[in-house]
Amino acid sequence: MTGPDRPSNEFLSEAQDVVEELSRNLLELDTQQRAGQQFDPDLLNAAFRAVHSLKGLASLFNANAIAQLSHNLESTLDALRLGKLELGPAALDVLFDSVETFQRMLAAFGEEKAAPVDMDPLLAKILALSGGGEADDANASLAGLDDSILGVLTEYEEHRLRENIRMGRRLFRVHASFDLLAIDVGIEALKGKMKAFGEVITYLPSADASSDDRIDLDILVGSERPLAEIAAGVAEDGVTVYELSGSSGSGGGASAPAPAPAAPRAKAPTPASPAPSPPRMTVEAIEEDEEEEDEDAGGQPTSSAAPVPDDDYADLEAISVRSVSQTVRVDLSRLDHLMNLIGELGVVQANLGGTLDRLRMREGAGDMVRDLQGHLRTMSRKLSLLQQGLLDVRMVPLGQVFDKLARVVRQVGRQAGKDIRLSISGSQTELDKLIVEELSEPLLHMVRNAIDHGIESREERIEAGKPAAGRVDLRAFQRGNRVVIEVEDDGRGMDWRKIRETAIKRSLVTREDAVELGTNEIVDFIFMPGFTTREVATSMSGRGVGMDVVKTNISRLSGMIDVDTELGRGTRFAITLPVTLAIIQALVIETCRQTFCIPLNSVLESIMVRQSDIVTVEGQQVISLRGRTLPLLHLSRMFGLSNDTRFYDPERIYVVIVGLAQHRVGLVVDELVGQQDVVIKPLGAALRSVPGIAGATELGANRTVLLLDVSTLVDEALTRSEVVAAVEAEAAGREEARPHGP
Amino acid sequence: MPEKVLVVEDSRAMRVFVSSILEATGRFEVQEVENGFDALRALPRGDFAFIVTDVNMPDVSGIELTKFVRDNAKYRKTPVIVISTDSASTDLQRALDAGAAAFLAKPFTAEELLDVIDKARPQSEDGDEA
Amino acid sequence: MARDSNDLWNALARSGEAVATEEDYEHGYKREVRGDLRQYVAFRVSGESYGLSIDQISEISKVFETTPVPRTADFVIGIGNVRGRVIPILDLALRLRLEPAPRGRDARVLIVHHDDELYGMVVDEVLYVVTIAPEELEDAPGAIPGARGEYIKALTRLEDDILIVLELSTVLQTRDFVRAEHRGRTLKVTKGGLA
Repeated sequence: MTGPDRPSNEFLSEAQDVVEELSRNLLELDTQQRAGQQFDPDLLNAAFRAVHSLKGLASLFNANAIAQLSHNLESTLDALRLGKLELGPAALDVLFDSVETFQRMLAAFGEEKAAPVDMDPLLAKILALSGGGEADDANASLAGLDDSILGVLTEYEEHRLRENIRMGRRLFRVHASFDLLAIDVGIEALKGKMKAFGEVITYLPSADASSDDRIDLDILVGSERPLAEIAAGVAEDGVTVYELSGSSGSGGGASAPAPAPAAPRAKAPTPASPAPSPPRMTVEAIEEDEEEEDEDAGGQPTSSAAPVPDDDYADLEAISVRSVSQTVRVDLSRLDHLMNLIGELGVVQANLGGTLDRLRMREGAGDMVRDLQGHLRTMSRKLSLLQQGLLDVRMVPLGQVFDKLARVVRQVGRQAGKDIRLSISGSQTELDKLIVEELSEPLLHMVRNAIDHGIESREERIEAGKPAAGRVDLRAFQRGNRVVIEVEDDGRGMDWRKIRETAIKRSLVTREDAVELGTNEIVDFIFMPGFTTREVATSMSGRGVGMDVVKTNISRLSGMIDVDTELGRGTRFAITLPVTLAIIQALVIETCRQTFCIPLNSVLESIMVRQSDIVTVEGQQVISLRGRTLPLLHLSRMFGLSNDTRFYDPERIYVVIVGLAQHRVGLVVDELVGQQDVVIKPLGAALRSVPGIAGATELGANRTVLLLDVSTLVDEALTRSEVVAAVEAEAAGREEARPHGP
Repeated sequence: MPEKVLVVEDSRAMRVFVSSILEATGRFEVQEVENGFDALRALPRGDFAFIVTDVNMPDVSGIELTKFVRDNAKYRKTPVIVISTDSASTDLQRALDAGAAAFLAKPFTAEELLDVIDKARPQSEDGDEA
Repeated sequence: MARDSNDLWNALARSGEAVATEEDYEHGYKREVRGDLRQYVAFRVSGESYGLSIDQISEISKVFETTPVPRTADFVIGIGNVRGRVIPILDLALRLRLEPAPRGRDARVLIVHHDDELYGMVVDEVLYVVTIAPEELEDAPGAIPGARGEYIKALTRLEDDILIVLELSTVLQTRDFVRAEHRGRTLKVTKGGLA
């Protein structure tokens, strides 16, 4: 396969696009001119670029006449955009003429019999245009402009820089840091904001301070507006605006006018690219931007006087620059520290309450105790406001991740040669920063899976009577104190029969047992580690590749994942997450004298049963609760704690019902201690992977207590064959068993 | 194992042309991007043997991309080959000043492209770049 | 080789690579201070002397209360709270597969940092701080009998003692912390790893 031999319709389709674009640009320029406005340099540049592309294309495909015309036109447009020729009605006429000629030539291209288009008259007109006078750039000298900037400007960019200076505009350096995955989205947003103020001259990527995930850009902007206004207008995470000195036109040197008001001064800017390790976040804060400060010793005083064209820009270096960023970046660990302190204050408060209760028992302390109680109530109200405030600071919209995903969809879709319509809703739904960060990988994985394996090829879709473009929906919404994120596609769905076969082949379930499983239970096998090999992937349309990893990540966030699929119709994954990670409500329990916390959002209810309520089926204890059979799990056994039965009272057995949807089990514990807000702390790298343990927390008096990872424990239990068998057998024989209801 | 190559070019036909020449040799695996921003994004994710870029692109131009690659410790040794319409332009000169390894003026043939690439790439015996 | 066992805490508080002792100044001149000398904290585990570079140790603390963590290896005593952080605490004797000595009054917890994480290691006694030059370290872990060679970085012979310098990257090998039967596939998807 070589280029020049490609079918000519490749050329035609792109050439037509290019000519249409040229035509659009010219029409807009024409409108601006008729309205007496100054023309938008970007439009003229775009027109130049269109012709430039056309020329490259035409020579590539040996469309010699088109190449010749575009070559001539390119020179003219180049002169126009560089200010060497003036864009007047005459020039526009010639340009419009050219568009028509191009269209005729393209129509004739490839048609053997078509008469060649005569372009000589047009060429003559183009030539006549070029004979015009030359504009001079020299009156806006760039002497002294930092070579590191000048050296990388294209000729056009340099011309625009001069033009901006000639027009008396100030020059600004906008420093921005972008997430590489979402850079196009970020740039587009920033560009829109900046264009409202003036002209974006160029983008300079900076080589230093860039990590693999981020990139820093210096954007050169010309504008008539003052620094503060621009800074306020582009305010955004990681964006800092500097004014390049001299750009507002001071005389320079010793004859400079009297000290300028509000002369900007260098200030240490916030590092725009965060160090790779700690996650950072942005906190809104107001920075005083009206302060008056003297110029640095070495800097030129700047003036807010009317702009005067000047050729002395010796200090165009960022000497007198100043950060007017509206945000402060704060290390997440510092917020965690504050959160810890609040948690500890909570413990102090609880202790105070306890002392107060004891004090109340004594006689003769009535009034003071009442006073104290009042103060304590006020304090706890303020404390929870403080806690809420801090949590709010950590909240970020999911849009951050969704933007990245939108980008991935485009990329992956293109790679896979599939047309994907992505619809996003709920971008503004907020979650704790840490959760959002941890979510991006699992979500990326799921979206990729949906496109790579879920959505069928165009042909397959048409054959199946579906729209040619595949649909992927990303939805987020809040439900109570949880956030649900759904990834849904309208692809081929998953075939539970195939999943069942694979599960049997992988010895995840015996053939006999598999027959008993419902389709939902079978589909859940995709979250098992055995479902990650390529062989399996192909046999089940690739769905579930790495889904075990996704599930692990989600459960680390105390979240749950559910899947719903229909063969031929599509698949929907739903992730349910707590809104915030840092502080959760927990049920404190005891078993074998050890204390544990269970996240309250996974506790459905706590009940007390008697030994006689418990039935043993196939060696597994179960109870019946409102007509449902629940397997019982002894936390002490799962955790290999001592089998001490001293605390065992056959009349008072505490069972904590945990789980989600149909996945429910009863955890047998010795004691229910109470409910409490707890600050979750990570266990560190070495213990992070202990299954069933999600973290630790402090319960006052420096007592460190483990927090259970309920979803892992439930999964563990439900995949044990005796549990599965017992539930099925018990459900079948419930009529005869007739156990006591609670 | 074919080497990975990054092709940065905003004209689709041109991009396809360059890619197909490179891929036809069987020696290269091409990642195509259509603008400077996409190139910046692709860089950390691919270990590219070299980069072929158009000079004249909006926003982040071929010059700026070249300078970025040269100034960045991670990519410093990756040769950048710039392609341009006009072999005498200031832009091309600046790209070379910024550290481009070679240039090629459009239009060019497959042989010319491959020849320039071979010359621009460091020979295995001189691994003496600091 | 300078040993100042009585000034352990001072030595801990001091940091920096070159340490000139008071002796150096007493003689009226300052001896050449070498930049490659390292200070080691020596401690006793089951009757043997072990050492760790002082800059690996962030704190030495009395034994404090820990919470056992189920499903972890025998040498993991549990978790403890050190300045608001929850960190794993291990029994160094069990980790080195030595016969643990009864924990007496002299037992201490060495809080060490490794790979940006803190760990606590319970030792029988903290002995002294010693300055060792690189050439005094014998790079011969093969000479150590038994299976614990992998945990040993080097040996050094002092006047009356042999100091075994520990290799933290193996002692604190994180996958060993979880009991083998509970080592799930908690594959970590690294940043950008899906691209």
